[in-house]
Amino acid sequence: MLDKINALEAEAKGEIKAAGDSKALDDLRTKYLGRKGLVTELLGTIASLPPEDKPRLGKELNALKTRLDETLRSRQTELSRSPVIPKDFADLTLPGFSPPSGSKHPLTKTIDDICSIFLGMGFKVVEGPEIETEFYNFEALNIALDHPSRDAFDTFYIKNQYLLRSHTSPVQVRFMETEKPPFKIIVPGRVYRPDAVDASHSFMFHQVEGLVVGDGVTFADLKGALSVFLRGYFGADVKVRFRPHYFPFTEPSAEVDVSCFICGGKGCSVCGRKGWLEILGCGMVHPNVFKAVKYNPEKVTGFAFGMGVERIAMLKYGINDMRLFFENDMRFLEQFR
Amino acid sequence: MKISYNWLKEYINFRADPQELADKLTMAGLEVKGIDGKNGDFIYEAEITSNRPDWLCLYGIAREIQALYGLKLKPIKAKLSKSAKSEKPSITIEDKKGCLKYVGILIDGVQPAASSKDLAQKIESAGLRQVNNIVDITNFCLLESGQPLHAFDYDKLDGGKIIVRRARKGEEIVTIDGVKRALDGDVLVIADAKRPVAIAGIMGGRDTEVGFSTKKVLLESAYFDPALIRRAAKKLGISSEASYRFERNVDIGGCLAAAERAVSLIFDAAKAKSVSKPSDLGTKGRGAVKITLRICRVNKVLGTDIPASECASILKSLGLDVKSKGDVLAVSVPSFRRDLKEEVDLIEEISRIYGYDKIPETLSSIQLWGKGTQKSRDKIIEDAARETLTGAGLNEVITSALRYNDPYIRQALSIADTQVLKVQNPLSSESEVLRSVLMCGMLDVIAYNLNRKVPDIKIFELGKSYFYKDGSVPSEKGVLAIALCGTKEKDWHRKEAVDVFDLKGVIEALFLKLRIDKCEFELKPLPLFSPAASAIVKIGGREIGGLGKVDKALLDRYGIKTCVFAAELELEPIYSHAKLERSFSELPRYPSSSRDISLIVDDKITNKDIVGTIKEACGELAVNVNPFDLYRGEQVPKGCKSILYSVEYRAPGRTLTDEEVNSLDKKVREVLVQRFNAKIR
Repeated sequence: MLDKINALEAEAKGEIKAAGDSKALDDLRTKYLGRKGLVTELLGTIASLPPEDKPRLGKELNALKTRLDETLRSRQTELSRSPVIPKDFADLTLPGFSPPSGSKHPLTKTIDDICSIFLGMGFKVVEGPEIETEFYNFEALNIALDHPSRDAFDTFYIKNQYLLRSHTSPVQVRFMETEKPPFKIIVPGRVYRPDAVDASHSFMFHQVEGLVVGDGVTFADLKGALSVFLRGYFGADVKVRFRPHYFPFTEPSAEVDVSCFICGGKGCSVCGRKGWLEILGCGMVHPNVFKAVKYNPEKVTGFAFGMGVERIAMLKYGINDMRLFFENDMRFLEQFR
Repeated sequence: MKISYNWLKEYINFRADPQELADKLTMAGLEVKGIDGKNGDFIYEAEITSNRPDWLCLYGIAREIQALYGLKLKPIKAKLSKSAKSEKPSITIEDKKGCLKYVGILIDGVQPAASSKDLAQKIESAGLRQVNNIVDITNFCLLESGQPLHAFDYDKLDGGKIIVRRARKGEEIVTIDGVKRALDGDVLVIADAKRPVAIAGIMGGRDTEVGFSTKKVLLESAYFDPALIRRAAKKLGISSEASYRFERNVDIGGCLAAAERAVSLIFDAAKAKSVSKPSDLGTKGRGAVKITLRICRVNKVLGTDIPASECASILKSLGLDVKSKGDVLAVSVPSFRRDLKEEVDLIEEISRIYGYDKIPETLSSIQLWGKGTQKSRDKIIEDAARETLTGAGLNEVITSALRYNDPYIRQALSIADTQVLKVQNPLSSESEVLRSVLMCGMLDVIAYNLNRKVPDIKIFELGKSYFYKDGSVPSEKGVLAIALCGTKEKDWHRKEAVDVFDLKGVIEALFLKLRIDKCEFELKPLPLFSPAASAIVKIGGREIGGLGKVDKALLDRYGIKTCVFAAELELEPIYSHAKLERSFSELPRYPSSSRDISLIVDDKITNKDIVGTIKEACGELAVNVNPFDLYRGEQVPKGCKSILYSVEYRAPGRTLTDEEVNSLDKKVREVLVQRFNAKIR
């Protein structure tokens, strides 16, 4: 019996190899594997065999069926690769017709990515005007007129008390004037400062600002929320450090660094060999800011933070010149599709 | 500021190596940005925040090291060698608000020389140049204690007098840098009987500076009003080591000590003969500032559990006087820390020295607030708009809101020069006004890309334009700008130039996405567009902007030689008419029938006219009326067009019979002939 099986296999494989087209293959499939085919026929004879042989031979025959099926298929594939070129032949090495696909500006993408992490933490996105007054841009934020701290906020003036906001912080004040705590807001926006344009400066740039106010908000919460953000944005492995700093509208204030994700903290040209990248400024809302919006600083505490979108985008995507963002070269923009 | 590591060691005995100390200072808020090894010393480049004038000197930094390492500062010695006494100098403060304190001491019989090697090295470590040992000692004391000092050649002071007053209009001074400067009443000066001899707190005058021939020196140590100095320095365009410190506030209580320290050093170094008693004018210094600190408040703000004893010892290590009263500390702040005014300032000091890294990371109560979608409706619509536009193959651009005040654009748009928002302090004429339209920025982008051989440019910007509301209030509004040029698709086998209908299609796709159905396109020649292809867009009857083919004359100004199609639409009406909600409407249960109509009509008859007429004739039974071919040319009389429509008929509750459809079709044909004199083919 086993010999029969082997002979049948050899014969079938030989014929399959010799088959010249699909039609011949179909015929061979019927001849061997069809309902009345030779293999099926042999299977039918198993019933008459001694019981001890039945399982083994049954198995053999079924395996043969599978093998022949495979052989038939692979020959079919071979045949379909034959050099005959059909009428509807498509040279699929030619490029496809791309559907339209544009890209968000990398700065928009960066803002969206930043905001989405805060949205996940229950922050609300709030926006405010670019044309501001000295009150919102400075006074209400505890920035004194004749103090050197104002140097950091060089500003374009328009007319009378009107100016182009030099940071997104005025939105904090506008929001607090109309809303009651507790709240968590995130404020993306465009800001202006009279900085001459070069690879790392622009007179127009973007910031994302955040503010959390309520009963019992602490510096520890500030650290917690910003660490969640920074690890979410730059990767779970980055180290985060909070360094004391000075801002007129927060106290205590901090600058926040993440370990350089380019060199892993060993020191490279991007982090100035320090191993740390400065990412944002933050702090506990200064009581004077609360007083300016008629909140009672004894009742509520809060934290605020702000970051430069261009800087973050440059670090994230390895962009070395800020001017690229505003030149809008299609070849630049399309890299962010 | 440059800080010498070796020099610091003269005031405090610390063990930390240069890198370790730099890290420690950085993490306490005194950021060391770089370390430069030089002649066995290490020079820190430090960034001192504007609230910490006490760190603008070596001794102040040593005081910080005292707190950080729990060490003890060495006192600064100012022991005057035995000397003959000379006459006190004559000093008058006329402007008592501008000059709160003035200490003057005369040193007679000096023999100026070059500085000792040690002194010279110290001066240079801070990036200053040596002059002579007297001037160098004043600079040394400035670097040591932060108190700017000035030495006058006393014999050159007219009448031997010092008067602190405002400058008079028309007065001038040549400062030590050799520049002649015009002064006025905004500037505080030190004058002799006749003229200004120094700009107070900013820079000395050349005529009275101490040189190698000087015999008698008047040493000045003063406290000037920080805001006054700041304004004057800004006005004069000078920033000096002295003005930098005065405008940040110097230690009014340290004026006399700094003067005495300098005098003792000058007396020895310049081999002087006699020294006067100090003339010490102005306030005797306000007493120590008293602040009550609640320990519970410290921990409430920081989210920590720092015990009262630790808070007290931190404040003491910073040189403050502390008395514990249970949960409250009575803190008295000496004059060298005038930045500490209220409780929160002390909380910051405690947190700094305690270490930000030791404060835990929590999300306690703030986690619980703000559930559900926190995006505003406008933001969601903006995202949807952006998604539709990028999905249509457009790239988002961001162009400058500050632009050149282009008279061509003003004239075209009939905007008076006074109605343009001008920046008072522009960086250049290229960015002197806030844009009235976004189109110019779009054309900049197109020109920029064409010049770089990028021919297919499909862009949009969600930006703002600016205007005077009610003629006088500077205002802004959100605008969507779109511009297209180049070929339709990126199919390599079929290049076809974009046209104005691609632009309209994008706008329609946006309106469809936002379910804005009350929109109309109305033919109208608009400025900056070609009269051949230009329309206004209306939503709910209100004009919100326009679209069309950009006028060639404008393109020429940008050197653009290809066709550009552009649109500019106000965002507010789009946002307010947008519908974000979706609801299902029953699918039609009865089949529809279509009939095609081919007609030749006068070119002036618009699609809007024809569709409106058909719908009017059939009522609700004509559910869709769509053009599907348009031809102008030889086969059609001049001034006419051949246009094909497909009309789909359906009744809401039943299947229309062939007869009914035929009769509707007949009616439509009749009406079209009647109304437009159309030829039906």
